[in-house]
Amino acid sequence: MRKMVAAFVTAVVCTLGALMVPAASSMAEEAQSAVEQGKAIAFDRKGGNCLACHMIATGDLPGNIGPPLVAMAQRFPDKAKLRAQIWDATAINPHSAMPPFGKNRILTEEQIDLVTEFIYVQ
Amino acid sequence: MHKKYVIAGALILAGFQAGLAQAADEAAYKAACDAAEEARKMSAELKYEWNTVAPLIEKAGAAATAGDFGKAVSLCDEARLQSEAAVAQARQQADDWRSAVVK
Amino acid sequence: MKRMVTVFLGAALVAGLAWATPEDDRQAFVEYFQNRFPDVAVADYINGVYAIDPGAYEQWVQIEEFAPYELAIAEGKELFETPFANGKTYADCFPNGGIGIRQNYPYFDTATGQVKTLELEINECREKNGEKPLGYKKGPIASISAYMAFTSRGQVLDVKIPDDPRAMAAYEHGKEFYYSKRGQLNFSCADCHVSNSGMMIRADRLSPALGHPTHFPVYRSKWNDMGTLHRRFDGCNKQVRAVPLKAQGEEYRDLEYFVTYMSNGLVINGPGARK
Repeated sequence: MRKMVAAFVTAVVCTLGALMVPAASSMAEEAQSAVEQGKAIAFDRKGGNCLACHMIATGDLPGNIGPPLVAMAQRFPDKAKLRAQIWDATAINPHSAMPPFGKNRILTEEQIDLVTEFIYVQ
Repeated sequence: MHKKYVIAGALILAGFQAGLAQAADEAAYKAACDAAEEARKMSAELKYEWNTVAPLIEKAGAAATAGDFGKAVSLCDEARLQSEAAVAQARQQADDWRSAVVK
Repeated sequence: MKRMVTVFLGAALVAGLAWATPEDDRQAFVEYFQNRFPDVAVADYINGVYAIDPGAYEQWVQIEEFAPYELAIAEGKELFETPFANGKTYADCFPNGGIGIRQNYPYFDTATGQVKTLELEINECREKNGEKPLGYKKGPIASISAYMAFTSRGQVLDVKIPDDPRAMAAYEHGKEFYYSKRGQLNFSCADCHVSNSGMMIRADRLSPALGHPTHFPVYRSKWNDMGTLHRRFDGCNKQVRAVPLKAQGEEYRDLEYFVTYMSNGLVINGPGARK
């Protein structure tokens, strides 16, 4: 039963995604790189608001609750692990203060992809 | 309760796959938003409601009033998923909090 | 099945480890902050974030010289002394005429089986005397509470947990709230004010939990206004994207019971001025 529900939800999400992505991305946005888009989301107080807790190059007045986001490609050779950390840091450490951006639906899956691209090149 | 989700899901899916995204009918909206409201109430009973949920349901109502049932359904689906995450959070914290206590 | 396991584990915990006593908890709490900020004297935690931030401390001292809560104290005194329609006053409702008693709140009332806070009893006093209750977060109740705190400055916080399983349950309930993550952003009170106290969240320094309740109610620059402790709970809960619970409802009163017990031994210095 639960599986059926999950299958339906997945189907709905996929259908929605397929419908919405082409509609939302204008030519101008396509020109903008994923990194740039990810940066905008990461720096947006109502988006990722990463600067609240992390130092990131070019970001003003960063917090220091989390580690500085530098040398990320070395720290996360596997980009998927970085994405997983953004999606739900409490999976590894239940007491992590980092909001689970994916699990708690703070950002959409697409936004998390973009933020991952941006953070990965820090 | 799960039956409702299945019905809602089936209706939405049927709607989209027929290429009728914008015209997803009122019944689908009602089903999606009833499910969202039910999930919200469950999180509230646990005293774990998120303040992001009621605004989504409110926006869905406005979208439905404007005839955009497709938008209303996706907003209520989001509200339901967030409320379900809040309920999951409540259950997880009931187990997890003790190990966070300063000792 | 999961429930069975939980119950089983719970039973094992009770049988094997026994709960830490509130006093164990408090000592561990104080030690935690002593280790975290070795240069800060325990008594200084009544100054909140300013105890751990020398730069902000200077500014704060200047603010306190022309304290923005002075008006509230004056208004609170007047309200406190003005008789109700039936001729009685607040002084008739409280021990010692309501003067110098802030340090004994909240307390567990064995008659009603619940935690009583100062603000709750201010309203109970009003209702007993045929007056309408006041709103719990700001306005007159904050002024009256400010005045009552002011008359208690220098008194040592002495929250008691009587030998009553209901009192212990209220304390544990407050403790559970304190350490449970809430809201879409998934923060517990302790995440910010214990484990990350002193750290910067953007340009703001997170204040240490120890000493939090000694200086309430507060005049907060962000509010341009006075607010009670439960107003602050409300604001914190919203910031983590949770729907706040009812001011003076059971959860927040139990939370206040736990939080205040952690600061036992510190002196009352309310009302305070905060950023």
